[in-house]
Amino acid sequence: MAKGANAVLALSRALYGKRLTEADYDALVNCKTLTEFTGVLKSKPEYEALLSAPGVICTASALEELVSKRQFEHFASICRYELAIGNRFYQYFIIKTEIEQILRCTVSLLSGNSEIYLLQMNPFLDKHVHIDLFALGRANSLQEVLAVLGRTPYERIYRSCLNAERVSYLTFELAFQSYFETAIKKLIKDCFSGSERKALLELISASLDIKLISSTFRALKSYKDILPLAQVPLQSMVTLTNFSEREVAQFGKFESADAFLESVSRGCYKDWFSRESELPLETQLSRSLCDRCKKQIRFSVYPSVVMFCYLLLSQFQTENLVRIIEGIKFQVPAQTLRDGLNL
Amino acid sequence: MKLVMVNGPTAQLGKVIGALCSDGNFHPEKADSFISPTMGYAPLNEENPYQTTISVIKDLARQFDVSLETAKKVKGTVIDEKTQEYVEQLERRLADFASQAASLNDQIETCRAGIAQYSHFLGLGVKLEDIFACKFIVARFGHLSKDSYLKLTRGYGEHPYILFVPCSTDSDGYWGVYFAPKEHEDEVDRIFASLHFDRMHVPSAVGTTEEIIARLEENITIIEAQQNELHEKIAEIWKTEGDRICALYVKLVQSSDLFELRKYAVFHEKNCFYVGWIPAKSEKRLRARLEKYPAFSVEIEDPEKGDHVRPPTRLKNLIFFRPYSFFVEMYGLPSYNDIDITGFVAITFTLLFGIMFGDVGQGLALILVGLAMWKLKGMALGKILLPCGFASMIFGFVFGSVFGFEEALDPLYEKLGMRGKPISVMDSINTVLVFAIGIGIALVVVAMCLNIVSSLKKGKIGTALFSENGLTGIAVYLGGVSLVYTFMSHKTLIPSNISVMMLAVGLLILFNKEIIAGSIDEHHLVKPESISDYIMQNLFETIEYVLSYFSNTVSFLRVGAFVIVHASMMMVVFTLAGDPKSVKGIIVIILGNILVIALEGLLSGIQGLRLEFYEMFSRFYEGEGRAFEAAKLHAFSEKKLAKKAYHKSKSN
Repeated sequence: MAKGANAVLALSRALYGKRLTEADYDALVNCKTLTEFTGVLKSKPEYEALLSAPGVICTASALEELVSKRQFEHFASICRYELAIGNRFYQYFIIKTEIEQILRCTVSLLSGNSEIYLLQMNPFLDKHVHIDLFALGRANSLQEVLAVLGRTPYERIYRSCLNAERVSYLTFELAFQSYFETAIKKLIKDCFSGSERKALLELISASLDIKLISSTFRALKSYKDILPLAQVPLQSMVTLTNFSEREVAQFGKFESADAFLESVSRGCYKDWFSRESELPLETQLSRSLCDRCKKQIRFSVYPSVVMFCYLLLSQFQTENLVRIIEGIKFQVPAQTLRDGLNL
Repeated sequence: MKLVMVNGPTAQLGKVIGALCSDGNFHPEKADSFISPTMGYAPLNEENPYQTTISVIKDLARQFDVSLETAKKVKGTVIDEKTQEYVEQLERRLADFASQAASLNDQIETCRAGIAQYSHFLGLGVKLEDIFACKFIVARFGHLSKDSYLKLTRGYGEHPYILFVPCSTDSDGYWGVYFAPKEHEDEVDRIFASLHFDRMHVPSAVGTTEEIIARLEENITIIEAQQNELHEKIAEIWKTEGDRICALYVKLVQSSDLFELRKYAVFHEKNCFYVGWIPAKSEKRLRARLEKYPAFSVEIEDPEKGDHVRPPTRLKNLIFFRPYSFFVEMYGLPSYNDIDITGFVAITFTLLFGIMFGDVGQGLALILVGLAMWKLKGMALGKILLPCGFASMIFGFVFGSVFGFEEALDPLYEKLGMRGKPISVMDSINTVLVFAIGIGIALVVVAMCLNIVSSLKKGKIGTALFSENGLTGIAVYLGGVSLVYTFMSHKTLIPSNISVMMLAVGLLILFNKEIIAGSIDEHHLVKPESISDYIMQNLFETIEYVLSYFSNTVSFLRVGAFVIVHASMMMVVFTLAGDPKSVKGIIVIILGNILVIALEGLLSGIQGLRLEFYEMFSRFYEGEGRAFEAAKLHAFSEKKLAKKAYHKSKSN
């Protein structure tokens, strides 16, 4: 058991060492074409083999697919060790991936173009999840998706969304988000105890809180009149968070985005962002999370914590690369691109 | 060395340069340093007229893969205005063939590219003209990655308008063809584009892919036959013209070399002036060669009467010392009138190395390594390792060590009537260190003596007698050594009162060295500009001399230290080996010896060199000489060329 745990630690730290550095990102954001971007990325050890394979196509979608594939290969290699030591925490990534795929399929169906999901889906994932992603891709209606979800726990949630008063993407998103948080909270409580459990819960909650804070801020700033936050049952939806119940309950009562930020800046995330900074709120929060993950990788003795932090950083790296690819495609200035990266 | 100055008509300069340089013993100098500018002589900036033609011939030889240095007959070959025309004509003929060859190469490449393209679609089993002739179906050839193929089969498996026929696979995916009805062409193309189908435009052709490839291969065979015919034609030309071209090349290179040497000359109207150095023993032969050019006046003088340009230095040493000139050249050649220290380096370096590396077996190994380096790789360092290895063997005998085995030579000592090994290193550490200091003292004194000799040679009597590295310096040094010896061992080398006198008087002289030695060497009384500056400066200099004597001497402790280090390292090896008769022990001993030979060899060499350069050379040697560099003419002798031509014709 101890050897397997050490293997997870060692592998996570070794892979962490191969991550792209700030200098690498500087080189990538200054690329003018995707061919140049591919050339620069190919010089990095982590992506060399992937991009040196014959037939690599330098289009945005192909590169994004390759980069995502690389991330999942890392997930798979580390999760294999987790599985070997009998730890079920790897299921966090499986559940997360499955929910993401279901939601992507749903959004493509709701947009009226069922093909989008199939074309964007990464076949690599099919090997690792419990849903037939190709069957999802073949589905032409939400009912067919329900049939594909069959005997999975997602079937019940999906059915409840389909039976809701107003069937919209938001309904599905909120329902699955709530399920995800409940499932993960239970998974962590079953698998871990003590400081390890606390550390994991804090990290996962932080990653979810970032979305919560930025969504709430956006809702208060731009959509206050369209969808008042008071109407959103946040308390019942948000189960995995570092905010207290009272704080979450207060979210719907803020009159303005500034008041909300003022409140957050006095709470548990007070050191995570600065209201004077020019960087977007979400970028500041993500960068703070990155810093905490890096610290945990260096100093934590819990394999699952180190693994989770590495995989979170890997996810940020993939998001950065996708952002840069899109930025190059739409000729976004390099400095603007850089300001949006999670470094 | 002798300084040679020739003056005569410019028209004959080339031949005179040839006569000067023909024996490889002429070092040309820039003539404008030896003649007054008022005489009106100046160097010419001339472009070498032979270089262009030489480049053309070299290009031709490279292009057609022939060797140029095989001229059977050079005598009688003349370079004139028709030479360039002839070469250019030949170049034009061969250029024509070259372009034909390039065109044939292109055709072969095109065929090969075609084969590579069509090879992906082997197994299609259908004639391409039938596919391209379809009115209601479109076909697209290309490559689909494995992931995309998976998406296609599992996501679009039941799509009624998509048919993908995989023909071959590679590491990344599938080569194949997809078909679609014409009216759904856009939709299917869009789907495949989204799947990153890499379309390949296959040129229309007749037959199946197998038939097409077979035809292309036939074409390649035909083109290759044409290429061979072309090569034969080129070879034929080279056969008839090759000798003449090679002879021309040889003559051109010789003429070019001589022309390049003209840049050292100065010219005035129709006359020229040329200067250089030759070894003294070459004077007679040179005069004989130059008799053929009575129009040239020749002056051959001793270097002292030469201008401000120093004569170059050519080291001449005994065969045993010659490899060590490598070290001397590393520091700097001696000036023309300086002493040649190669012999000194040879003896002292070998001695120091031998002491530090002392081991009979390892010394022998070093000799073998040196032999291999010298004979197989031609490395100069190999020749130095031979005497060093031999010295190591001698001192290995003194220390009683053979590959680290300290008792291996005991039977030999007994037979020689000795009680045991002369010096047991680990049992006589103090002796070894004192011995090292003793060597240091001796070498420092020798270095000072060499400084005296060198100074006298240069006519600097004051420096020889009154400098810190002259007679006074020796007196101070030995006085100091004697006093220290008396203090440490309570024994007397030189009576203490005499030592004190030597020290005191010597230091006083050194303090005033600037006045005393300066006045003698510069032949006038040297007066200091400021008394206080004079006192301060000379006080610190005197302190510095004393410190340098001390530090240079103590530096030799490293010789003893490395003897001890060597023995200690072998002790460690044997400790690790355990039982020397076991397999593990033998392996560890062998590997340990290899490591120690490499490490200690390197360290001993570096430390020996350091002692030479810093502790000894700094006392007497400047190394400001410049090398004698004889003008190099390409050595195309008739005999050599004939030999090469003979060997070439034999191999053909």
